[in-house]
Amino acid sequence: MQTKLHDLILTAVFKNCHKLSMKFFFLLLVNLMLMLPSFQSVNAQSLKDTLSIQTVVIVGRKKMDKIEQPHTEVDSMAIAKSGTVRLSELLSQNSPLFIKEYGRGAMATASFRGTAPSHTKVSWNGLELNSPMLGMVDFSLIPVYFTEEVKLLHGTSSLIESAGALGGTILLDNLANWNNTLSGKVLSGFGSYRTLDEYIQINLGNRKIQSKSSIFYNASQNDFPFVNKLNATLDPVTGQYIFPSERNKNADYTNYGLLQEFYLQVGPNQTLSLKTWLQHNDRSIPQLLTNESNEAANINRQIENTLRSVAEWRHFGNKSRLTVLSAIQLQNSDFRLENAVNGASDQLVMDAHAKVSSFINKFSYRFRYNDTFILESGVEANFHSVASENKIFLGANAGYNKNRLENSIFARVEKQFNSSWDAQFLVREELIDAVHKDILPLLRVNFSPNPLKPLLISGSLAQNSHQPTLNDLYFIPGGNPLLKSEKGIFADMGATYDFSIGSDQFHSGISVFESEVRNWIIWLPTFQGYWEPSNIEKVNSNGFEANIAWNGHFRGIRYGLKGNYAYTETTNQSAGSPAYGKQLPYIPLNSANLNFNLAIAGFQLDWMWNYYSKRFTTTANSEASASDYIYPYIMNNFQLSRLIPLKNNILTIQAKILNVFNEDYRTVLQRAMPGRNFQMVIRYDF
Amino acid sequence: MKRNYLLIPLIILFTGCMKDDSWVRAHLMQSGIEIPAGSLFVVNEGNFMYGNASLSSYDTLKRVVQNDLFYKVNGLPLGDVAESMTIWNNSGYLVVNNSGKIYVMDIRNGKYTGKITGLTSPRYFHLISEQKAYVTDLYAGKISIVNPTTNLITGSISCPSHPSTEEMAQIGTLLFVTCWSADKTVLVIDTEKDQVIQEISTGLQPCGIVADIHHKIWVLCQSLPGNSPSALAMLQRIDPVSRSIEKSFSFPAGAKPVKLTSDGKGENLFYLLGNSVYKMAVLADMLPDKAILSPPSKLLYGLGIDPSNGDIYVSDALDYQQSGTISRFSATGSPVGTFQAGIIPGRFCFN
Repeated sequence: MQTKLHDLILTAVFKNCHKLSMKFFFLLLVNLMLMLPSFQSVNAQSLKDTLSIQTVVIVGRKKMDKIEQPHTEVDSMAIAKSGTVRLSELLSQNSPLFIKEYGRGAMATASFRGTAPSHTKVSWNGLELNSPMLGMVDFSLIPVYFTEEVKLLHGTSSLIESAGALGGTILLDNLANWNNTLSGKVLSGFGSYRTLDEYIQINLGNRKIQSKSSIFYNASQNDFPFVNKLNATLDPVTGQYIFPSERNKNADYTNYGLLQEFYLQVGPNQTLSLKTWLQHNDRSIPQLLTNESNEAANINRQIENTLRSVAEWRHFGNKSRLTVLSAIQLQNSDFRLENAVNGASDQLVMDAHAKVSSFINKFSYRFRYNDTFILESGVEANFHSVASENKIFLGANAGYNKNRLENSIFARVEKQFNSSWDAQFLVREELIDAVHKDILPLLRVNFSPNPLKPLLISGSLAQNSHQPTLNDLYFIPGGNPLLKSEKGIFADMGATYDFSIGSDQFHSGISVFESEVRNWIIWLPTFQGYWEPSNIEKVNSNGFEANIAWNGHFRGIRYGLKGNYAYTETTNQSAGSPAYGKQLPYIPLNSANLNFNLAIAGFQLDWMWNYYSKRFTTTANSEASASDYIYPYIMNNFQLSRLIPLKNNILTIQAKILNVFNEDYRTVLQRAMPGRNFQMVIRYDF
Repeated sequence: MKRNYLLIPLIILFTGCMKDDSWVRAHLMQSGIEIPAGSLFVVNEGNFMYGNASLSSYDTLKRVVQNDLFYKVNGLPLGDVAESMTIWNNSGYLVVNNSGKIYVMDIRNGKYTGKITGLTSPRYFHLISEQKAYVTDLYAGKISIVNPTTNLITGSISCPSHPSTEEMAQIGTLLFVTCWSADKTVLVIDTEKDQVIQEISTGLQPCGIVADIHHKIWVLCQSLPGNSPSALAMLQRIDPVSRSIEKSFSFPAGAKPVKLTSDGKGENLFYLLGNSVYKMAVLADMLPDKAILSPPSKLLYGLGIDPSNGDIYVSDALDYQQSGTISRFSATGSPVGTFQAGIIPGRFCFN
């Protein structure tokens, strides 16, 4: 019954969405561009000329609103300027996260403080995007278009949102602008390898109601050229190697989606919002560089249709805030692998389908007892259902059909003791299928040595746990219903300091972290010829993160520099393990990024630099072979924008050079990566 | 000049100091290698979709191992999931399953001399004559015919209803081929006509197949993963004259034997069961109830018997994500030594 309803909804939605075509987008774009002159006369909320004022330092203690948590906020300008990038690219350029990409347009997962991809949670307006089946999020499929605020909660801070994010949580939020009457943006981009990006957003409303409608289309043949140095033919005369010039094959992708937001001021103290996000993803996964099989062999296609919808009601009392949220996430995924061989009929090697449904319900109540004491409590009830089927798995069907009920109750106390000290204590109880699982406490203490100076020292200690995914427990063959949850103790301490020198403003932050996780889940092959998950005894993770930001202006020139650095040691500490004391594969010890920007006379220059140190591919951290590790990765991207004010609106023409120095680089073994490539974006904000 | 010195750290900071070429060159052998006659080759599968398969060579007399031989000699990675190796006429035919090709290598020095490409998911290579060899395949539903002299695909033998073909054993002009994955068939092929002439129904998932000294064919049937206790693993003997099963031995419920092989003379069969090695004389009336070896190990994965002296080699894949360990024992089971190989050492190929 549930599966039928899931199918009915997604089929009804995507049947019509499939009719969208490039022609439609171009027609819509053209029509909107023709209507531009009429928009110019409307005093909509839009980007205005910059007016410089003298810096004023405000001194004083604000009424306690919330306890500071270690977090990273991706600058709203960075989000606005990112234009066509995916969330994976935005995060790799603006945060200490390690993003592991399987190729351009291919899957991208995140590692927060050395943890596994399933240990990083992503929440979109209160709805967790992590698949209950796989546990992880594919960041390459999240368009930056569909979010306005990106905030990262590091380590223990994630517990204020939910349990299970052993590394941290990424919050993506969309907000209402109650001053808006009519505004929007139109974006069109084209780039190397026949890449297209189209995006339209229209915002309408008044003080009572706001509507934001967005659609995007993104596609690429992704057929970049390269010389394949991993295959060679022998010259019959000289015996020298002949390396083939190839194109990245079977790597095309097409993504499109729609986001509709409604915000309503129900009363003077109540707001209601409804956000619905539909998305279609269609891509192929290319073969490894060493593949020299039959041209028509191992052809694959991955298709996903997703519907996400979040409804939230908030009530603001004199001293309280009540929040009720309900959300739904429906996802259909299909993966086909075919071998079409001359002289033999097509072999459907794999035909995997998965239907994932999630129903989320949250209630929280926050009460400010007085200026120095806040209480908050909440309850959550989530229901997940997975129907997974792998047809024609070499003759034997595999898969499972399982549900899970997750409940969570939390209580939180925030206390400001004096102008220097404040603290937060939170405790969560987690239940799975009505069975108590864990009590998870968090204690955070903040210290500001001089309230007149923006130096903040913070420390925390917490226990967190991550439940096995439904695949971990029930996948056939191999799922292990006896798996234990991953549990750990987490601690961190850090400091942030903001200061200014003249008109230049500086922000700096540093934090050290340490964690010990038991029963870490890892999939390994077995005698029976399939893989099974099991609990490794212990994994320790420790390191530190640092960030800086510098903004200033001089004679009409605005400049800025932002940087992030992370040192992460994540080691297997299971006694008797052949990998004892070794860094987990694919986690770099060092990662860093720098962003430099300059704005002058209507031009903006952005230089983005990224670095990941060597990553081991084996648990023994060997370097005996070129396959045992991936060499350090440095990437430079450059962006030049011209902003042209058109009365109250802005036309932006943007040119990007990606991989400026045409670097060889590897993110995983034997995947082709593009050389220097280009992108042009035209954007109109009104 | 001073300005140039300032530029250097900036250049290093902003550009990568490692390139693909320098990365590979750093691991190349500086001079050639001579592989002694009689060396053992270990085919290391590597991890699926990692592309880290490799080849090791082991001098059985001096007990010296050379790992990552192919990559270090040739500067080319072997590929993704190396499944097997066959030696003929000083050439090693390395079947790289998930790269759709077979590398040809001079076994005296490890040098790449050619390759057969355009296959789908090749598994094993069996030489019929100087101009003909068969290559089985996991998905293609056919056996490819290749010319080992020219390294070209010259034809195929269609195997309808059997997508997967695996190991091969030959008696006279008849070749017996197991259809492993989710199947229960052994195909009989006339190697003169390149045709399937008969299908023999066997136990579930026949994988290993060997010929013995009495010209009988032995097949190890693994049974399906997670199947009911009634579907048992089996060791079956086929008479190539009548082309039928003449004897079947059933393993206990839950047993998953793998890696069937024989000694050089074909008088004894060997297989792995759990973390132990079992030996059975081809004339025995029942399966052995005791192992001949149970070496301390995490995960026994591969088994090989030296045809020249009966030495037993077993591989331990450890956690499947690092170099495995090879343990060598004499024919009587006395430990001789151990050495490290590559990731998931799966097959042994004796020169």
